[in-house]
Amino acid sequence: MGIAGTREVGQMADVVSAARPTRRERTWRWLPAAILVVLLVAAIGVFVTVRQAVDDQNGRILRERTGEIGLLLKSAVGNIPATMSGLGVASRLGSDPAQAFLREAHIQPGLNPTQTVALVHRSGGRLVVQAVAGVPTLGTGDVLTGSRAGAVDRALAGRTASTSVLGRGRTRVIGFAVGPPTTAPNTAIYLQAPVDPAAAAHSPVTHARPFDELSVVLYASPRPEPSQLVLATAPTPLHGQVVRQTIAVGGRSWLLAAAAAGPLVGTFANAVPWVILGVGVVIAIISAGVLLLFQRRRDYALAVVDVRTRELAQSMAELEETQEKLVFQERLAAIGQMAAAVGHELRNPLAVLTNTLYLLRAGFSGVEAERLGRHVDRAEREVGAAVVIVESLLEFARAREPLDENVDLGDLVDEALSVAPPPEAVEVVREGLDAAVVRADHQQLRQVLLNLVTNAYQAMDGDGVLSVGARATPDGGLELTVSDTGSGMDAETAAQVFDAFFTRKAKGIGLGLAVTKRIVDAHGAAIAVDSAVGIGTTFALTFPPARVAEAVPT
Amino acid sequence: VSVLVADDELGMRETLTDILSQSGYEVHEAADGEAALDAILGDHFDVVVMDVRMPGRDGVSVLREVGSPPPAVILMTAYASESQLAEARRANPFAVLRKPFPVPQLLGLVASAIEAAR
Repeated sequence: MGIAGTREVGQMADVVSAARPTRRERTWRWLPAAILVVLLVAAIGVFVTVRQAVDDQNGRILRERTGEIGLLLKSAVGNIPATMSGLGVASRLGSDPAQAFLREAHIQPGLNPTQTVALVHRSGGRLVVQAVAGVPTLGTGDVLTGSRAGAVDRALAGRTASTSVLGRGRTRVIGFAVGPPTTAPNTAIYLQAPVDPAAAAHSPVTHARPFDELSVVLYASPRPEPSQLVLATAPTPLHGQVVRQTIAVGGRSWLLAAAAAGPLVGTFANAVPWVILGVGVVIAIISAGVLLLFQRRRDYALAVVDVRTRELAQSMAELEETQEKLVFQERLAAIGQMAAAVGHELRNPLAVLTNTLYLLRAGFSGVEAERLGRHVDRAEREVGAAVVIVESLLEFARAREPLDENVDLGDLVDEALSVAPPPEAVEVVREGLDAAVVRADHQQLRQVLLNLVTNAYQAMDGDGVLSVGARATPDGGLELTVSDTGSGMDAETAAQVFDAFFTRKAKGIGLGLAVTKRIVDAHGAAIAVDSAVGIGTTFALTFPPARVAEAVPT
Repeated sequence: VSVLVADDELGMRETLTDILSQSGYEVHEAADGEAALDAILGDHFDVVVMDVRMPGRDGVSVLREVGSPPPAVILMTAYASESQLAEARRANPFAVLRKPFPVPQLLGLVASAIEAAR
């Protein structure tokens, strides 16, 4: 049971360790983040593209609307000289131009009450106001200068003209002048109107198409100078996409700037990019979230597997422990069995020793001295046999880890042969033992050699050749052989010689080779037996290259 | 007076032979059970000193085969347990000795066996 159980536990341990590599898949940690980033980038890309298209459309419509507004403004400004032309014609027709002008001015229906209209005459290089109607911001006899004079001069030259925005704050005004041929030569009509940009925001005009969709700012100059601000439907400066257009008013360049007050393409079209972005972000977050969820689940599953694996390992450890206890108890039982066997086996050599000692003590008077020597020799050998048995017993019960020391095989063979001297008719042949050194436990290896040598003696029954040799193996290891010319064994017996308590001898407890095998295994070496009935037996002990301390000279 | 020493172990055989020879007996040797049986059936021995455990045929078996008139057989055994000793005694030997035994005890038993046979 013990050996089979050990093998099973070993296989289970293999299965458990084979399941370990799945943990490497945990390196896909970055995947949810990567998916999130990729989807977000894609969503932003689509958003930017669609937004660009919407902006392009917005810009195109803005430019169209701004053009329309430019035309509207141009025509509105163009109406001013038409209003003034009636006054000019009237002033020219009457005998007294000033009286005719005033009369006409009072009945002129289009004249705004906030405006000032003046009849200006050029005499001697000076522009003198001859008559004033409407708000009296000018007086009769005033001489026009600066921008007003410039405008009137251009009007006198035959072109409708306008001034820049004059004054500051609430008194800001702008003037228009009309001259011949509408008026008499050297006579011009000058109209001055207050400028209130803010008023435009409340004007009904700016709440109608196309103004309602745009924020419009108009400057009486080609550049956006705050002092020249004429009209503003929204606070300046404008934000967002701004379209600027220059329009010609009264010989001057005015700047029209317009921006979309709201989405020109429609609220839905404008919202599409944001919808795309929103949906994209949601999809990205959901995808990453689902993936993360799966990973969490897998992590949980792996954690469960880890826990189970640990539990399994613990169970196996407990099982091994139990098994070790069982093996230990089996070993204790075996030791008990062995103690009985040893007790028996020690009796034989001790009986011989007892007899021998008796003979020695008796002085051995009747027997020749040569025979006395043989008895002494025998006594030594029997003591050696007892030593081997006792050491086998101790070695089997102890089972310690081998030490790692240099063991000279030649010296070791000498030592073994002195502890267990060969019977006198046994010839010992040594081969290749010089400079054969291995890394091994000296005490244990001595036990191995004693077991093999005493086995050989017994197999040869006191007569034969014992060969002990060492030689290098092809892979750099070292092989130690112990051969005898004894009775040999059949294959069945040879297959069991290393089993504990197996013996085919009339004497012996069957422990020597079991101990030998265990020591050899503990050294990482190998032992093999080759035997033929009637020819002899060879035990070959092979040390791996790692155990060889010095190369054997070949 | 002739004595047969039957033991598979050479050391035991030789020491017993020398001990018994020294005491003035004519000693013959047998190395296993079959040889012992052959010797006993072939020759007359006053006393047989025989080991129980031998290869092939053991001492108890030899004793049972010998039949009558049986020589005085002193069995020697290294077996430790009482049951094994009892089994040896059931074969009706002259005596059973437990190895190792004091040599004078063996010599005393051999002498009394010869005495009893006369």
